[in-house]
Amino acid sequence: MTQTPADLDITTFLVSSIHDMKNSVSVMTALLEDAVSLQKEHACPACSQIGQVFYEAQRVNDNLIQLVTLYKIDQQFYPFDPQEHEMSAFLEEVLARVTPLAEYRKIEVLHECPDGLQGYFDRELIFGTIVQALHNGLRYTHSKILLTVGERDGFLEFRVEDDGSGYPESMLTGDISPNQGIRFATGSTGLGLYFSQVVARIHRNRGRVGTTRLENGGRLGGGVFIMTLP
Amino acid sequence: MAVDLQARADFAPKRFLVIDDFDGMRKILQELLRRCGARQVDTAANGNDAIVSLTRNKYDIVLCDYNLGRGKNGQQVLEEARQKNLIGAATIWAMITAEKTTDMVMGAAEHQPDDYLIKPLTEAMLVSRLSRLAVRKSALGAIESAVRSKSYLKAIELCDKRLKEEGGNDPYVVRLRCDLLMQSGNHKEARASFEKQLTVRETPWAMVGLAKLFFAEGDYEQARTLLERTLEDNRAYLEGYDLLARTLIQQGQWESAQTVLVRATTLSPNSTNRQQALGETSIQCKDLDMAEQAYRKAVTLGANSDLKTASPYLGLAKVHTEKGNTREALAMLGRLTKEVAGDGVKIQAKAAELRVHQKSGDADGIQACAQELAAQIGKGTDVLPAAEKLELAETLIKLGNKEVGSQLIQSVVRNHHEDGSLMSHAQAIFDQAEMAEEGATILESTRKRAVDTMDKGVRLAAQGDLAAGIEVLRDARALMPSNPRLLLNLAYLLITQMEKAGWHHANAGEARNCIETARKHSTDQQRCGQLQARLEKLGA
Repeated sequence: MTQTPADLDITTFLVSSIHDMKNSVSVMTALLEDAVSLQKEHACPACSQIGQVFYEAQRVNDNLIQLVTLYKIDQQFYPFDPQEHEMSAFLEEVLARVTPLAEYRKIEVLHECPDGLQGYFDRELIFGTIVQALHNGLRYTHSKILLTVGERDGFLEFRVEDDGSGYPESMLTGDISPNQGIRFATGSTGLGLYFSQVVARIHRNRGRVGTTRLENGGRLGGGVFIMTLP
Repeated sequence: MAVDLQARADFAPKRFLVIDDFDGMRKILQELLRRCGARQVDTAANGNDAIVSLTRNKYDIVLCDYNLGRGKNGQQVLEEARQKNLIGAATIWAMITAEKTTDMVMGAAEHQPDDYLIKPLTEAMLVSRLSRLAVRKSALGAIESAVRSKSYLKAIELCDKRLKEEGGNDPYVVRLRCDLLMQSGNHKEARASFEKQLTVRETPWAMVGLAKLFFAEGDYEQARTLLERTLEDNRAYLEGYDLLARTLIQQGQWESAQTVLVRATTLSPNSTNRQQALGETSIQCKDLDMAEQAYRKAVTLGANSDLKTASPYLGLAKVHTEKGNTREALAMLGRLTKEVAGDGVKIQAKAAELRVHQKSGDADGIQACAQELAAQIGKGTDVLPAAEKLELAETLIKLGNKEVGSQLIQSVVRNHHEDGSLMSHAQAIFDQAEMAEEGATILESTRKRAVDTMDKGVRLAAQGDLAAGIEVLRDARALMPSNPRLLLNLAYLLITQMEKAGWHHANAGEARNCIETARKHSTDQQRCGQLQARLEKLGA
């Protein structure tokens, strides 16, 4: 099963380069996290810039992981591995991931989760999706974001709400196709939304399928990202 | 309401070992652990150093990178550490990987680390996961020790207790309990538990569990349907592929089995057993190139392992033999005897060498090998698998050594008196050597002796003379050491006697040994489990 030169198309290079870049970025983020924690102790003026760099590096890392993951799902070799997770513990890790950026942007992160709630899903896929939704919220919100997890009609429901100006009308209607979301000028690629949709759909149970949708309003009056899992 | 930030475990008194081949990464991890409150952090740069450290010190928590460059990988270090008892049930082993891989979905719990941590590691993630693992270890440590010492009934009892305390929710314990029920031969309750799980959710482990029961009961069609359905929704569930391949092999569908194994090895190329299975299946499909590729991979994977076996070497030698590459075949057998230890290995290599010479028509080589093997077998060495014994017998008879040849055939009959296909193969060998009648007599009398001895032992026991029954079966065991029915009957009598007369240390050991040998040869895993459970009850 060795590859002949004919098999080596642009996809092969894209995928292998993404892998390679991802590894570099991983090393960068690890070193940057060290740097950030050292800076904290000395209250250095460069601290906030380094924090910003750390965030950008993490965003690149997350995007690259999503690309690789989408490729693997498409090629049917993503190691999909749904399991039971204790939601409070899961949220703890998610929140720890977004706290540095929230602190830097001075945005309050609220969360709600019933005691003892269990969820059944692929940890890495949902972690990536929710962190992405929170990061997105942090960019567009005004002063706070709210993450809630609960059970509704036998589905596990995640909601990420903000008090920003909400999603544009074009994004609210029906299914989100990847092309629709691409705005090279604004830096919005639509990747995150597409990813979340693919991720939701591979979660199935007894004939029911996961979903994602966007709304405006919610408890904070801004944009709302909703993901449900069977 | 709010997320309860769980109490952090106190890492100060814990001893850590960090295994990573990159100096930079070791330093980052060390620093990270210090920030989490750890005080004692040792490091190792490769698998061998890690084993040395693990031998010298007792660690509470091991953080090990899966990819350790050249030499052993993280999984091999873990397996070796468990095999050599360097880590106990209380040690937390967290495997660090660059990305989520299929190896993590393997399912075989005894080979799994306690958790996988995906890079980049952060302080929050380490504190949260390691604290949780520490809590879980102290809660489930007793269950794990019971499982490791094969005290399945005790482990089930501990699971029940844990589930009661905790509201019946811990999915890990629910799953473990199902596996334990199956291991202890309680198929009825295992089935009920799997089905109960499936009414809530179609978890792949419960579907595959149910399929395992169908497989064990010989209902291969049901097993197959269920597994195919499981894999449709869980395309990376390796355990499902492995069992589906075994099911298809039982149904004689070698081509389909090969397709399944190709898919499984593409998903996860790093399992020696899976590559070995692909090699064997490909030989059956006469796909020598695929077989060669799979066996080669299996040899490479085994190269750094302390647990390597002769099988992939023999497989490669067979491929070379079939392809007519005499030199490569002999070279591979040379490597085998050098790289893998054991007396049995030499005999297996010699038998393989004989086949090489047969294929190339080297009469002197055949003669020399045959003589050597005949001498070894005359001394009572018994290591070859049944099919190979028959093959060797055929050669010896052709060369005129009817005595050792038929001795070999008799040994096959004694150990597999219920296997019709081996019996007819044996008869075919006699037919070809124009010994049809003589052969039939030998086969029938050998088979009859095996059955009679067994009946006699069981009858004596039924008449109340357990001790005499045991004696008869014990003598028979010397003649048919791998006959599963005999082994299980002997274990049964030994256990029944102890149930009446009380624990007897040596007899318990003998019964355990019988059950373990039978597990390797028997298709009746349920009876093995049931006897094991009765034995455990006696010792409790």
